[in-house]
Amino acid sequence: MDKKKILLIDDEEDFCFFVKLNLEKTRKYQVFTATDGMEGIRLARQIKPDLIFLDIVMPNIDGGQVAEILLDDEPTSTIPIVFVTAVVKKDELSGRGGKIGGRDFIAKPVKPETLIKRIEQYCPIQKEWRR
Amino acid sequence: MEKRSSKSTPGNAEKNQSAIQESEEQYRLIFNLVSDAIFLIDNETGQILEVNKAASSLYGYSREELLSMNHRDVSAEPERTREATLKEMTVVPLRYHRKKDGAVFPVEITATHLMWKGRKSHLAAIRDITERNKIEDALRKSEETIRVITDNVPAFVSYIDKNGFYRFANKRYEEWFGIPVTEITGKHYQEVLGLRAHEKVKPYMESALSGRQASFETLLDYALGGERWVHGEYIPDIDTRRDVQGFFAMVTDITASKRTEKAIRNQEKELRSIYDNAPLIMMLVDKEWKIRKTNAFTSNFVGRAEDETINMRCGEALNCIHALDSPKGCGFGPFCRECMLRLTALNTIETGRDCKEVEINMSFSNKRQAQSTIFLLSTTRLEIKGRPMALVSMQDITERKHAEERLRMLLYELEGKNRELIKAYEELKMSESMLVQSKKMASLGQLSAGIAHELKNPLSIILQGIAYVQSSVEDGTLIDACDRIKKSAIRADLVIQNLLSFSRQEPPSFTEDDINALIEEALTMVEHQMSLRNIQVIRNYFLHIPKVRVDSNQIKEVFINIFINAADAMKYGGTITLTTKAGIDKDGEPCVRAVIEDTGTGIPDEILKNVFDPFFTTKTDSEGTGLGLSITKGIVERHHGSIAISSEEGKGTTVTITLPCNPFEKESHYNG
Repeated sequence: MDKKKILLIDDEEDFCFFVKLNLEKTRKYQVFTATDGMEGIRLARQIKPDLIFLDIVMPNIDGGQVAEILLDDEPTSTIPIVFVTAVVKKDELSGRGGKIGGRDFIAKPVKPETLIKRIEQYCPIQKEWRR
Repeated sequence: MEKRSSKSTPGNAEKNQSAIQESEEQYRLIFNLVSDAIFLIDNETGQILEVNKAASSLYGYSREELLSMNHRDVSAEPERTREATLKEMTVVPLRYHRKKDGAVFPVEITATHLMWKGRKSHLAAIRDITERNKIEDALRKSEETIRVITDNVPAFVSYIDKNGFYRFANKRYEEWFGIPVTEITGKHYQEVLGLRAHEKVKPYMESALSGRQASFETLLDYALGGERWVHGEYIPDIDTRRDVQGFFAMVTDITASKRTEKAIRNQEKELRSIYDNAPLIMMLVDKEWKIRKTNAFTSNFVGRAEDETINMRCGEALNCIHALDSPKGCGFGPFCRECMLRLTALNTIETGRDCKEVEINMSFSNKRQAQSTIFLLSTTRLEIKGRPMALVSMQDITERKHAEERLRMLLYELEGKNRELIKAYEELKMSESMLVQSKKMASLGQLSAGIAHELKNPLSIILQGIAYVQSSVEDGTLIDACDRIKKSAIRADLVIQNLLSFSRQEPPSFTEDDINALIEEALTMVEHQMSLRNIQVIRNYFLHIPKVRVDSNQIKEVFINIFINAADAMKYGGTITLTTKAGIDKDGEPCVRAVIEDTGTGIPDEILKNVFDPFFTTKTDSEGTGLGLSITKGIVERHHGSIAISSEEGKGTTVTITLPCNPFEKESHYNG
């Protein structure tokens, strides 16, 4: 089975570093990271990841704009995006159905298990879509 | 006589003798004809040598008897008789003699001393002056009486003769002219009065002296300074031959009465003008209830001349609507028995008790319309020409009353408005403080959101890092260390979450819920903790409690916060009593109340007021964030509810949460 390709776009370099270590340690995922919105878009187009974890508050171009660009662009429009943000608190996940602009999100601080759970939740569906 | 006899010659003796006899006859005739008693008395012996007939008749002795007597025998004062004889006095104006019957009487004696038959003798002519003395006495007495009377009469009394000389002046003149009375009598009036006064009274004097009584009032100079008003009466003295002999002057000082008269006149004028100009109905009424006098204001008020109102009864003059109730007129109708005006005035006349400013209501027909008028009535009893009357004064205060009423209404409105204003002000103050609070909270919110964001990222990194390290090591100690670090990071995250929920203040999303159920759900979250601390829960739920529209998550958070605080206050066990009830809040809207009582340590008074402040905590361990109650309060207030805490140190704390059943009502209430 191919490793799932996960793209993490977050301006916190250390966060990217540890997430990559934790996810890749499972040997199920290949993690790409970008600490800048534009770099993230470029990578997304290039590697076509199975799932994108996208930070919202970032310099230059924020997560919302990144998501808009990716959704507008045919090759990347079908890639599931899960926002990872420090702006919301955990409770609001359930209260608002865990959506921002109809999209799923995870509140920081986030444990590796939470990320894995979300990947597992999205990727099978993705496979069905692909079929 | 001796001389004549010595001159006679012997040749003519017979002729001479007859001539002498004739002459002696004649003398004796004269001697006896004289009305005075005449005695010829020997000076040395006092022997009476000869007497006339008058002497016999005056003294009551016969001639023979008298000729045998001494002159001292007829005197009542023999020593003085002797003395007068020795001194050869010729006139003795008064001496008392005694008659045969012993009666003593006054005599006037005229003596002529001569030689009689070679001896010193005297002829005493004695006149009985009893009558004269009596007249003189009477005259003197009457004069004294007159003087005493005139001196004490409060008037200047004098007599001036036809030539203008004072013949009499009473003592008062001394006061006026400053000179003794004795100096006034005998002086001409012009000299006494002075030129100015003389000029003034001259015509009256002339009138009196021409036989016409004069009466006048004039202003005269006063010796001691100033002028005095006098009233003078000059009464002519006319004798039996109708000749004017002089006049009596009777002058009275009337300055004081003139002054009083003037003062009275002024006062009367003053009173009259007050009476006429007073903006009051003033009427003088007698006990028959008839008007005797009215002032100008009354005439004006009733529209009748004063003359017209005289003899009218009050009610008739005033156009009282009851004046014609009885054919007999005012005072006889059924209402008259209760007429305050009539009763008060008549009572004043009867009892003399005055009445002051009594408020009465009367109805008058004014231009054929009944008009209710309010008066202030005062009555005073007066006695006029011996008849008791009442002075009735009435002040129309209808306008004033109405104005007062309007004023009272305005005042009442004003007070209402004022109350509203105070309320509005208090609300404003409250909302101002709320605004300040919410501004503070908003900036705190922004700050917390920023801080939260800044902290959440490093916390994420720490959690990711620890997870990686933990999964990569096999040393139990390291794994344990990682676990502790992770827990700390999670707790830090909890603080941040609380901070965010406090600062967010997001509007609740309302659903209809049962408060009892919500409390139970909240309780399950802390039940474990409570049972560990041996805390007993007593439930006093009102089972038919109305549903409330709340954000259930937020309300649960409220109860959880309160339960945690209660549990923290009861470290060594206790009881928590939960009571719910339905009620009406301060705005009259239906509400539910949840009362949470604990038996914990309680909150000191000085701290109680701060418990809702953000970041206020008494918890010394690292468990409290100091945000629990401020978040709780924020939530309750966003539900338009209220939260109250009362506490007694050592006994426990009671938290009462009131939530309106329908907060939207409040929403519209507040917005409206």
